[in-house]
Amino acid sequence: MKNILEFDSLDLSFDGRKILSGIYMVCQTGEVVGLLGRNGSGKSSLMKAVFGILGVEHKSVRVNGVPLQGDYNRKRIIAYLPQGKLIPSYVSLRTAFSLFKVDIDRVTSVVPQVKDFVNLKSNELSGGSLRLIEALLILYSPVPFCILDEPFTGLMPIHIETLKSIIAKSKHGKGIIISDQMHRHITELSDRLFLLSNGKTYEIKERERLFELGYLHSL
Amino acid sequence: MRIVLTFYRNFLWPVLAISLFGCWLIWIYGSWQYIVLVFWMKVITNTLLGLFIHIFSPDQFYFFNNLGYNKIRLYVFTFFLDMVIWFLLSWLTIKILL
Repeated sequence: MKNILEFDSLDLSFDGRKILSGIYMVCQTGEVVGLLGRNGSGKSSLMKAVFGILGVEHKSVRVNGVPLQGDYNRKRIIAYLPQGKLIPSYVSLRTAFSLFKVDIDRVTSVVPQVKDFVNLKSNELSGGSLRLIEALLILYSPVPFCILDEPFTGLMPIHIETLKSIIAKSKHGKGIIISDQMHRHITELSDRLFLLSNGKTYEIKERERLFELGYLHSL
Repeated sequence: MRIVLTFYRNFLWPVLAISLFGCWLIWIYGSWQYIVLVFWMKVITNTLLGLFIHIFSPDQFYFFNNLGYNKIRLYVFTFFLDMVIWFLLSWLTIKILL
């Protein structure tokens, strides 16, 4: 059975300036939905609001048509990779995997290097290695939907390719919403693509539209 | 419980130091007379530590949000855990003393 995550009627303002309005996005299990947008367009705010940790004036987030209300984090329906650090510096990777109910063997079978890091704490790893591990932690969490905010930041090219292949495989059984400034990777990975511009989401079916909406200077 | 313990480890040493200070007072004076004072010390230090984390290290909450714990649940559960540990330590001190 496919699960469907939908959100709309999401309004957010900062200091009287409208950041988000007229949002509509849908993601179902089995697909990767890309979210593009210029810096400061509100992508991270949108992701936080959908995850349920950013208070907004109004929003409607639904799973299979049922509204998610109150502190819905507790239900563990959505996992969220923030733009910054995920694993606190005092938590070892082994503890993090265990708390997230992620099988370390499953991770090491895909990224063998993780075996060398598993007893280290997050502040003992390089930024790139930590980012890859944090992304895996979210992707392998037993939740139907994942939101990844800038997962490729700080990753070396080989790790970007590894992560892309893991995202492509992970979508079988879960829905993934992904945002990054490396738009080519997002475009390649996405089954559906949205652009956030002037507080609104536009579904992008043709690359030319990114140019028309002012996201790209040239094709 | 493991999730709360993981968060508690973050500020284990200062809150444990206050608990042990309370036990030391019981040991020195041989009575519970300072328990109210220590209780308020614990309330104040826990609040200050919570504020400190809230202001200087708020990113760590993403980790716990993903595990189904928002800030309020984490703070409340951690405070109760700390109170239980303090009470047990104080009770043990009295037991040994008597």
